[in-house]
Amino acid sequence: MKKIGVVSGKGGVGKTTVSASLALGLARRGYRVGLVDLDLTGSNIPDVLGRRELGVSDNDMLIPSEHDNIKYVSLGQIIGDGDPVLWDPKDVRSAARQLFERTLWGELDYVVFDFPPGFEAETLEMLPLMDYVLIVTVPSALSRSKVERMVEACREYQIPIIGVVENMVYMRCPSCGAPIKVFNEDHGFEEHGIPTIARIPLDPTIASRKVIEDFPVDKVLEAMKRPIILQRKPGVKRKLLELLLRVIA
Amino acid sequence: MTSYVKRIIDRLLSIQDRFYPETKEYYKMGTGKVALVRIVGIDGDSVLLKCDGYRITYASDEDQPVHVFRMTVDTFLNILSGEEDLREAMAKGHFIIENASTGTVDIVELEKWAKAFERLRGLILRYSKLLKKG
Repeated sequence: MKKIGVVSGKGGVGKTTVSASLALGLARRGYRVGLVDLDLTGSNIPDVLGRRELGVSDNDMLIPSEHDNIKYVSLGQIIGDGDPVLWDPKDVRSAARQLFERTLWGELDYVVFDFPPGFEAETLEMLPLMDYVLIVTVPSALSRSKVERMVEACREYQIPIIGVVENMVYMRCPSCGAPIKVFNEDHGFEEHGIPTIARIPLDPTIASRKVIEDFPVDKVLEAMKRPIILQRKPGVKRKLLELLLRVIA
Repeated sequence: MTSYVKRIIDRLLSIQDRFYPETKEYYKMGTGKVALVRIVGIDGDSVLLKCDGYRITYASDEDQPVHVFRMTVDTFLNILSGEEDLREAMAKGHFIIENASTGTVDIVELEKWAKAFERLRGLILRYSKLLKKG
């Protein structure tokens, strides 16, 4: 079972849409797929896949819901729709882990984790456990600086990065069909060697269906064969300090 | 026998205090409760430091910290060398906070220690330049 985290430093960039689209694409290719909604305080997966009640097994495990051959769990299926989750961060951390570990998944090939924006309690708990991450961003300077922090966190935890999905890159002019850039910025993370997996337009069809039907899952699978593991910065300054301390001695 | 961590701290504080008379105006004694830093060596031995203004000294039993930043000597040397910033180390969980009465980090104390480490790093660089000159 490979764990894929769909992450971003920024909210509202389309992590849930990408998570659901990736899970759906993998399931359509015959893989056994699970999907965990890790955004405990702002869960959206039930809005995409259906707000079904979760079952509980005889041995106190959650029984995931199913939609299009995707098994999924979300706190949104336990907490009532519209009820705020006013929990202590340590409880959120614990619940995030339980949501994954106390679910009867059965045999799975991939589990996709829809992360919350930024470094919420759920992210701190679950990010180090990921086998891969897929980064979602929008091409705005505001998003860029937040996503850079996520890239650095992946460097810190040495998590293999599949690539970047740039969302809301352009929209089509309703009259002539010409692409119009939504944000007047254009930046992937190629300087880190991280490939751009997809450039998704701002499309009313995606907004209404809540999934990207033609999400490039094959490109994701291909990139997973050669993921990017960012190297930690070399410790030259530290070596110099130790040398100096020896000289002083 | 003096422990590894104590030897390192002794050397660093001796460098700091070399410059003490001429930089005295920078020192402003802290009042009230402060955060301390505990540096744990590879042999398990540790030293407890306090920061008066930007001057780092050994803490005494009378110091009543709001909490203690507990870090390994490895993390300490990374911060002091500039490989890692104290705030960055905090964000990455490279040290733990002992005895936090409020359950959270005192961010003013964190900032104060970050500046104290930066300042000590500057003094070490200054000292190394003096060594070069002979």
